Parts: sequence; structure tokens; C-alpha cells
Amino acid sequence: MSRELSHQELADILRVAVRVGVMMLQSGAASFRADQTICRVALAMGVEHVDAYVTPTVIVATVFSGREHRTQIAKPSGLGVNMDRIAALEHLSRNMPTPALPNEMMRCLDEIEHQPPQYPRPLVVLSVALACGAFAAIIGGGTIEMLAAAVGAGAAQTVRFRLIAARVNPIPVTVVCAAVATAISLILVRAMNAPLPRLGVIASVLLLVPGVPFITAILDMIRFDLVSGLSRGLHAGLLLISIGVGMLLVLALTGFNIL
Amino acid sequence: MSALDLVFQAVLGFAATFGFAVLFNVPRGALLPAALIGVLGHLLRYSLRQWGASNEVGTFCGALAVGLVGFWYARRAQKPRLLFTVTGIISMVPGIPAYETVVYFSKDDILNGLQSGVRAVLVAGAIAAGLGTARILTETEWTKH
Repeated sequence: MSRELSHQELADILRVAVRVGVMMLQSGAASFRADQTICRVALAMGVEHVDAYVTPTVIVATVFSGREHRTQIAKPSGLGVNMDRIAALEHLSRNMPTPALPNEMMRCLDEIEHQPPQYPRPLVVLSVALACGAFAAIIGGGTIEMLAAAVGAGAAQTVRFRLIAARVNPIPVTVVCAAVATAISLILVRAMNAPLPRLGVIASVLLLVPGVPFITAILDMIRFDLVSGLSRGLHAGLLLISIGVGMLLVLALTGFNIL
Repeated sequence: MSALDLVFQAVLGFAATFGFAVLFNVPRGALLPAALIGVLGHLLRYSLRQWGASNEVGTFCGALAVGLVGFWYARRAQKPRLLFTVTGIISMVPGIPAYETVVYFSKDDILNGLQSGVRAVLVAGAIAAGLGTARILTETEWTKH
């Protein structure tokens, strides 16, 4: 696979490789992982050499073949978490179709992109509710706190699904969902006279904590990709602040103290 | 710290990790292993804290264990590491001190706000150190720059 590729062929290959990178970033992968996958795909498709610069907000990649080279830029349109998609893209990059032509690759990527989430929404809501209920117990709460946290979290996740489907910006989504979780868990701990009410309320918003961007930021920083680490870390920080704001909106109105 | 205590914590750790794994759309085949790895990390952290270790030390050891076991299992199952390592430590992420900081600051309580902020950063550092150490131990490319 070492024949010299034409300008057009390089462009088509690059478009595929960059799309892989964009899809990975949008699914929550760390920058170094997206970088590795872009390079693997490009090389498997016949380029001699590839250089990529990957940050959470932009990908720049150049492919070389003989005396030709091309460069493209792409911007992922948001940072979510979809581990199934990351696994599928990684698998594709290690099990490329032969021959790995751009059209065929685009078809594979379309297939991956059209995969719906594996778990139906009610199941996700239930799982998230259980998780937050468990967290309430982990931080010391009893059955009532667990229940309040679970119901609050379940309600917040339901609202979150609606808002994300409506393509609302993640920051107001987080504020609104934090407010919903806080309000509902607060009503429940009060109604059921919980002994440790603040624990039920605190645990109910845990579904909104940006754990994945936070961890991938750390992983990128350890690899000396300060730009990715800092920007993703900042994004995670903004989301954390949004949780606080959403909680405060409700707490200020009701005078409840979570501290 | 009785055996019943540990079993209870194991169930909690499982529920917490499993719930987030579903939210993250972890592939079906990896759900159970990811949740179990989360249980491992959580139990280790819990036990160490019960024996008097600080939250940071407990978190470091838990994250290290998750990183190592996650790497081993991912290689066996031919799946990306992050499915297991990121999901496995999700129960250790210091979300609570982080947004407590915001609430403290809003009440003009800067001192306590800084305290919980620093606490959050220290635990975050412990997670980073744990995962990073696991990576260094399992992949030589991470020790060289």
C-alpha cells in the first residue's frame, strides 16, 4: 500500500479520518485516543504519514503521500458520552474493511452514527435513579434519603433527555436539571421527615457531575496535552458551577441549607 | 467493619457504577465487568478509609486498582480501556465538595468554600495519580515522554 496517492484521494481519505476523530470526541473520548485512531485509520487507508493536532474543540490533520499532502480542519459540535460509539470506532480502526476505500469507510461510519442508544430511556432513568440512591447511602444517608435522591435524580434525567433532544446548550440544561432534582428531593425529604435531609438533596444532583470530561482532562494532561486538559477541565468546571447554580436557585427560594 | 458492612457497600458500589455505565451507553457485554470493577475500587477505598487512611490515600489506591484491573480486563476482552477505568472510578469523582464550594461562595463563606474546593482538588489529584500510575505500570509509552 505504498503507491503515491493523488491529491483527491488524499482529500477523501482525510475526510474519513477526520470524521472518525470528530465522532470520537463527540462521544467523550480523550484527545490522545482520538489522535491515535485518526492516525491508525489514515495509515490503514494508504497514506505514508499523518500528523494530527486534536483538542476538544478542533481537529487539524495533515496526510502525506509521496510529494503530496493535504490538511483539513474539523470542529466537533459538542462533548457527550457514548462509550458504545467509542468502542465501535476503535474496533473499526483495528478491523478495517479491505479494501479500505473512502466510500466504504463513510458507509461504515454512517452505520455507526445511526446506531441508537442501546438502552431504552426508561431503563436509563431507572438506572440513574438507582445510582443516585446508592450514592445517598454511600455518603451516609438512610432509606428515606435514598428514595428522595433516587426520585429527584430520575426526574432530572427525564428532563435532561427532553432538553438534550431539543439541542439546548449543556450549561442551561445542567442548571435546570439541578434545580429539578433539588426541588423534588427537597419536597420528598421534607414530606417524609428525613433525619438527614441534606444528604438526600446533595445526592440527587450527582447524575449531572461531569465525570467523563473531568477524567479525560486528567488523562490528557498527564500526557502533556495541556491544551486539551485545560479546556476540557474548564468545561467540566463550568458544568460543576452550573450544578451549584441550579441548586442555589431552589435553595435560595426555600431557605434550605445543604451545608 | 463487618462482612455484612462490606456486602452492603459492594451492593451500593455496584448500583452506583452500573447506573452510570448505563447512562454512558457502555456496550452490553461490558456492563457487568465495568460495574464489578467499580465495586472493587469502591470497596478498596471504603476499607482503607475505615482503617484510618485519608480520603486521598483511599481514592488513590482505589483508582490504581481500577486502572490495573481495567487494563487487564480490557486487554482480555479486546475492548477500549476507558469503558472500565472511567466507569470504574465514577463513584470517586468529588462532585459533592465541588458544588458545595459554589454554594459556600454564594453565601459569602469564602473560607469553607476554599476548604471544600481544595478537598475536591486533592481527591481529583488522587484519582489522577491512581489512574496515571496504573497506566505507567501497564504501558511503557507513558513513562517516557
